[in-house]
Amino acid sequence: MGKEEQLRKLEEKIKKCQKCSLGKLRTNAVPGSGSYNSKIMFVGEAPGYWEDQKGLPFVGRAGKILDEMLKGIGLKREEVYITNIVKCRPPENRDPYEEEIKACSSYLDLQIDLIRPKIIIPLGRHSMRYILEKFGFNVEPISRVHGKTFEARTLFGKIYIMPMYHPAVVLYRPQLKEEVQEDFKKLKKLLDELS
Amino acid sequence: MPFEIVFDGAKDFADLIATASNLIDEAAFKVTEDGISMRAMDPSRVVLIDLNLPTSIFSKYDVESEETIGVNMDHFKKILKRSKSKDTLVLRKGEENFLDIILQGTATRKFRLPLIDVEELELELPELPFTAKAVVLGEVLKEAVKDASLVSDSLKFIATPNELMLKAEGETQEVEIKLTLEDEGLLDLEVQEETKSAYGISYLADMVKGIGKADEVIVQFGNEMPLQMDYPIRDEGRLTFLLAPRVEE
Repeated sequence: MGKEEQLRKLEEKIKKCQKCSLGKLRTNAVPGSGSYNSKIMFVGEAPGYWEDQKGLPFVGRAGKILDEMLKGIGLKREEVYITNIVKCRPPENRDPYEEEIKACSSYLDLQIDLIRPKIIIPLGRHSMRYILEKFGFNVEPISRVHGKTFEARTLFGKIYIMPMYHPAVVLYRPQLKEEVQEDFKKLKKLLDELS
Repeated sequence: MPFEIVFDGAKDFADLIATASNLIDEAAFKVTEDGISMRAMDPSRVVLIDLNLPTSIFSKYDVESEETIGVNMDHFKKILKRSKSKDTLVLRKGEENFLDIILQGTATRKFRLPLIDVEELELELPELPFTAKAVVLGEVLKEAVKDASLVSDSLKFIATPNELMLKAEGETQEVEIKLTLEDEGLLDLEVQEETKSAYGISYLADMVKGIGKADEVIVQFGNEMPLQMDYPIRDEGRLTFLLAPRVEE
């Protein structure tokens, strides 16, 4: 079975998943979207209201910020792959519980294995914690490590991890917008170095 | 009944599962008419485990139809750890989604382990252009990893045509383990070119835990390439590890 078929099959499985209680509460599961051949994978936390309605990641206000940041470094969302650790919306947009992350994270692990991105961008502290721990790094506060590159050498080759603030931070702390833009510039530089 | 499999010497099987469980949380075992196999990676994708147990190593092997069973490795390990070396292990699965683990010794003890849905990736074992191959005694590797862990968190494998050297360097201390074909611990050495690569000690420690001291372990590696370690299980079975190289800062 080819990579695209495996990914599509996985997405179908996610849409029907009932591994945790969020499966009963969702309107739509949100497996992820974008290019299966992308070098960059953005990993958010969990879908919000609009994502749950549409079954697509980052389509609400935070999604607009993400699009703007991508545009700022000459990228379109179709050129990257965007997903979340937890694929279903937690009620009232609360933080996902540990058991929900545990139940759902094997889907993200498989998406990473199949897409094999060169760069993973965890968006926000929950995503950062999961990704850094997964690849054996110590977790530090996001305020300290955003925009910093971590190199993980795996059996699939080197993966660069660059944690960033969640784009929603710009909505409620506009003073951080410049820092987010700076991090995207660092991403662009890394991407150029890898091309 | 989908299968009933009997293994004499439950402790050996327990050691095998304990070794794998150091690296993986969940695993999908394929039970076919040819034997039991399992291939999985650790969460960080630094180690791949490939287990192959042909029917010949079991004293009874009745498989009605091919089946893949997903297990929580920690739970499986803990149950098997209750076995004694002379116990006979029976693995039985009926129509229900449970694995019966039966330990037959001075009494018959039956555990029931619920099976789980494990996400599987079709993993091919890559054919890598290794430039060094050594056959070493399990004891040598176990001791080398213990020695190296005193001084560093990585172990460098250096192969030249006449020598295999394992070297660990800490900030103030270092250790070198040299092996030539004159030594009892090195049984064979084939080197195409001088080859060096470093690997994480914590992963190596988990990998060598289940190796018997007298086992003949095949170690293959290349310059800054993964290391492959194969060791036999009751002669015809095999446990293979593939370990990604360590980033040298």
